[in-house]
Amino acid sequence: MKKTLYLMAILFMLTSMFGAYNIGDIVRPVDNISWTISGPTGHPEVGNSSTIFDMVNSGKPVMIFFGQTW
Amino acid sequence: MLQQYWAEEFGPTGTLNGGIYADKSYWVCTETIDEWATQNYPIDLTVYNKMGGFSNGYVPLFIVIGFQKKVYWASGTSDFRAVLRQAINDMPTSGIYLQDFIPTQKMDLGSTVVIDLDNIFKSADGAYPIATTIVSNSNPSSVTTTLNGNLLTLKASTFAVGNSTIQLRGTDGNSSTITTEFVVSVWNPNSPAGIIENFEDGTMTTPPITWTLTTDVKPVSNWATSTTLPYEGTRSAQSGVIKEGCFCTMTATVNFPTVGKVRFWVKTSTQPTYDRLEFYLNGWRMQRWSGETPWTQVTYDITNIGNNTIEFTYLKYDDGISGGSDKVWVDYVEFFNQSVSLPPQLDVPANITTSVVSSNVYINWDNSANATGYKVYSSPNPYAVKPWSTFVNVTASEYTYTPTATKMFFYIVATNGTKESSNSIIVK
Repeated sequence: MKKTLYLMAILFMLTSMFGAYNIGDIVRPVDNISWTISGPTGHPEVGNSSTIFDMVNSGKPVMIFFGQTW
Repeated sequence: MLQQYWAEEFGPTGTLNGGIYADKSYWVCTETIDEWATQNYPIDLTVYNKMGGFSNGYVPLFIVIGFQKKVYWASGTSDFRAVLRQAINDMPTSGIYLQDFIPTQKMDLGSTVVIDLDNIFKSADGAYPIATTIVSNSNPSSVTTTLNGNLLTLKASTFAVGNSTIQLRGTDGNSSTITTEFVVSVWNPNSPAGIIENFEDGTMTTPPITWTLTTDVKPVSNWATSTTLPYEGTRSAQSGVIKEGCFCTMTATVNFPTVGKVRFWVKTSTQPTYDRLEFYLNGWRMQRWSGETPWTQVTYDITNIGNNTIEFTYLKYDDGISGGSDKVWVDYVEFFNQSVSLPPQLDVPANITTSVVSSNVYINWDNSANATGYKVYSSPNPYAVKPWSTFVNVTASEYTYTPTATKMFFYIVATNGTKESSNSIIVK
């Protein structure tokens, strides 16, 4: 099943946030951000929790937006 | 919006590349920067600046983490799809591969470490189980290795410090193989300090540590030694006077022939949360402090053999608010490694007492470990620049002063012929 989610909110962010990373660096365990999905009622993913490392270990790159929509 | 672009390419309705990335990607979206700020999560300026900052109200901050937990990201706003595509394409499609690396293992003499290899070797096409073997151990006198299933046990020697490179091989069910290696460094936890930077020489740019100072404050106001409230001796390193949204940094590169430790003391007096002292090790932010922090000692392992960069940065959030003394301090930075055999550190003479008997002043203090003698400095002016010009050498932890003035002040330094301790407190 494709894993596109319409709305996700990070409910728990590690307090350290991300340190300085360059391309090719390995993410430090302390930056293994975890989250719980929120979104439209009835969406099958809502309520699920995961982490960066869990996703990568299951074979999925993770794209994280620290951004603002326009 | 950025997320929409991504969804169009990689999502369930995406058409680009025929949907070949289905089931291979995952994304997380934070709230907007404005909302983020109102929730009191300061934006990480390091990431923020690397990503190009604001542009026409658009904030292109994103990070892609892919195969082997490597970071991929774009520095602009246009090629984020290519970055994610690269992360996906880098993932292996067949054979055995390394899911993770084994970091350098720092072990005390006589210690044991067990490493779970379950997440090291993986099969891209499900050819399990994977058999792991130990290929080589370059220094078995320092560390021995045993393998039981996926558990690798390392046992350090009780007496032989040194480094060893361990090489492992994984073989999947299709006989596909791959090797990986890592370093084990056996360390004597009681080894002496190698280098101590206590800023007592009054400069930031001369040995034992030559600091590189940078700031974006104009006119320049950077780290400097200060006599304000040092942790040890008479001086510490104090941050410069910096403006809102600015920083000042002191950086040093220290060569470690083996793994080791860096240990130091920090103190802050700043606006809580936003104005902060940050410590970086080899570019990684390891810890930060803000608000009123008393002198606090911190220790970090050095696992990278060779040059290591340490950095202290005072950073002010641009909110027009300051707090406390608006300064931070660093003092008594120690670098340890297992191969240095410099003379042991001399304790500062402590518990100094004075008494007057028959017009003589008797000064006594506790013996300092490893000291062979002491220098007793004296001056009628306690504010005179140190070291004071008048001193006497004694071998025992006592000194008798026959008064030649109505007031006299003393401090004491322990010596062992090649090295001196820091100054004791001043007594009258």
